[in-house]
Amino acid sequence: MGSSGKRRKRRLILERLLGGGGRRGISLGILFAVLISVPFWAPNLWFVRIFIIGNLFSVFAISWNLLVGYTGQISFGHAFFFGGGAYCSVLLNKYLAVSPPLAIVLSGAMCGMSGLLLGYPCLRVRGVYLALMTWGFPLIFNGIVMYYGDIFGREMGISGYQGLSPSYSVNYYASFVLLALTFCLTLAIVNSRWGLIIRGVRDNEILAESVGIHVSRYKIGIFGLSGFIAGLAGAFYAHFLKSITPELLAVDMSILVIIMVIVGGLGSTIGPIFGALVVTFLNNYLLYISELRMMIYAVALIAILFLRPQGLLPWSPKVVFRSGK
Amino acid sequence: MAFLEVNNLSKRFGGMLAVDRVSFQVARGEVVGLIGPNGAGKTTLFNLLTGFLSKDSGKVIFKERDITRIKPYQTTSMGFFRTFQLTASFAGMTVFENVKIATLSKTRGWESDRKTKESIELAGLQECENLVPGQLSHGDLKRLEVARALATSPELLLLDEPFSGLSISEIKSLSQVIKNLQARGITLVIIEHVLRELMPLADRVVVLNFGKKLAEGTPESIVRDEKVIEAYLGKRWNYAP
Repeated sequence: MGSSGKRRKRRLILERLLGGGGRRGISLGILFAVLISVPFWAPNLWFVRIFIIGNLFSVFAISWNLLVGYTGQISFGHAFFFGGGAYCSVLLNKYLAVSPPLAIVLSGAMCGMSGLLLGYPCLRVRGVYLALMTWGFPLIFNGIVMYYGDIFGREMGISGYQGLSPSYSVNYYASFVLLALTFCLTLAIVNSRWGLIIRGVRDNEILAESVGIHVSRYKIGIFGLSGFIAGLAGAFYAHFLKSITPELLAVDMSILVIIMVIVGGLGSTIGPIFGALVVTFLNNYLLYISELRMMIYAVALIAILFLRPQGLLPWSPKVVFRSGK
Repeated sequence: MAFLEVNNLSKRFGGMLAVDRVSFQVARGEVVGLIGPNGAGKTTLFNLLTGFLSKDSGKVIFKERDITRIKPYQTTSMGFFRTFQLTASFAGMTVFENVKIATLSKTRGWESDRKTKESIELAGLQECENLVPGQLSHGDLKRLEVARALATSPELLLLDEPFSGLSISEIKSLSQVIKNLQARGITLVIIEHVLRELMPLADRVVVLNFGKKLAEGTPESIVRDEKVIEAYLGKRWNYAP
C-alpha cells in the first residue's frame, strides 16, 4: 500500500473529523480556541472556576458517552466512578500523603479496575436491567461512606487535604489538558477498529458475536476505560473543590451526566463537551433557584428526548441509539 | 474424513427434545439443504453448531478438529459463518462498516478495506455502500448478509432461510449469488422452505422432523420418499428437476 495508502488513510480520518460539511471541524476548532484562552478573557475568577468545573464534567460526560453512546451499555450509576475517584484520591492524599497529581492518577487506575470488576456482572444483564444494576453501584459506596464515618466523614464529607495548586490558571490548564487528552483518546478509539467493534456491540450483540467479536471482552474493557476516565475527572474535581461530600455519589450526579450527554448528543464526539459546558454554566447561573434546577433540567431532558433525541448540536449523528435492540 | 461431521447431537428444552441424536456429514464443496416442518429443530441445529446454544450431548468435528465446545465469536476464525433467519444488521452503521466489521477477525488495516470492497461487489451492493441498513430494501438486506458472510472468508456457510420474504425476481438473483459462492468452493448448508429454489442448488438434502433426522439423500430421492411426503412435503408436491 505504501504512501498512497497512508495518504488515503489521512484523508479518511480528516473526512470523519470534518464530517457534516466541515462544520464539525470548524466548531471543534472554535470550541478548543475558546477553551484554551479562557484565563485570558475571563472577566473574573468565578468564571474561570466554572470553566474548570465544566472541563472536568466534560471529561465525566465523555466517559459516560463512551460506555453508553458508543458501546450501548447503559449506566445509571456513573457517580460511582466520579465520586469513587474523588474519595479515593482524597483519602490517598490525606492519610498516605500521596501528592495530588499522583493520587489523581492512582484513583483513576482504581476506578478503572473497579470498572473491570463491575463490568463482569454487567455482562449478564441488558437494557433496563443493566440500568437498574448500575444504579445500585453508587448506593453501595454511599453505604460504606456512611458506615465507616470515621474515615469517610459521613454526610459532612472530607476536607483539609491538599489542592492541586493555589493558582486558578494552573488548575485551569491542568483540567484543559485532561480534557484534551481524553478527547483525543476517545477520537482515536472511535475512529479505529475498536470503534467499529464497540458500535457493532451496541447495534447488535448477537450479530457482533457471530462475525467474530469477543463481545464480553470489549464490554468489560470499555467499562474499565470509562471508569478510569470518570475516576480521573472525579479525583481532579475533589482536589479542586478542596472538600467533598457524599453528594458526589448521589443519584443527582448520575442523572446530571446523562443530561449533559443528551443535551450534546449521544454517540457524538464533541457533544458531551458542549453539553457539559452548557449544563455547568446553567448550574451556576441558576444557583439562586437551586431547588428548581433539577426540575428545569428534567423538563429540558424530556423536551430534548421528545423533539431532538440526537442532541442540540446541528451535526449530531442521525442514527440514535435505541435501547433493547 | 468429512469436512463437517455432526455426531449424535442432542439438545433438550425442558421436556422437549429439540434436536434428538442427529448425525450427518458434509463433504468439502458440497451444498446441503436442511429442510423440515416448522419447529423441526433446523435453526436450533445451527445454533448448536455455532455455539449460540450449548450441546447436551454429541460431537461436532470441523476440518478434523473437535469444535463441540466452540464459542460463537470463534466460528469466523475457524472458517465458518452463519446467517440469521430474520435479517440482522448493525442499524447505526453504513453498509460499508456493516461488512468491514466482519473482516476484522482475519484482516487488518488496508487489507480489511480491500476485503470489504470485494465482498460488497460480489454481493452486488456497490451502489449502497454509504447507506444505512434502514434505507435498504429487504432483498438488499439479504445481500448485505451475504456480503458480511463473504467478508469473513468462510469455508463453510450456514444460511438460515436466505429466500424468506423475497419476491420471485429477488429469489432468482440471490440464488445466482449463492451459485457463485458455490463456484468459489464455499461449502454451504442451507435451511430453506422455498424448495423449488433449494432443490436445484442442493447436492444433498437432510430432512428433520420433531428433532430427529427423518431422511437424507439426493433431492430426487427425497421428494419421492414416502416419510418425507407424509411429514413435510404433502401429497400434492411434485418436483420436476
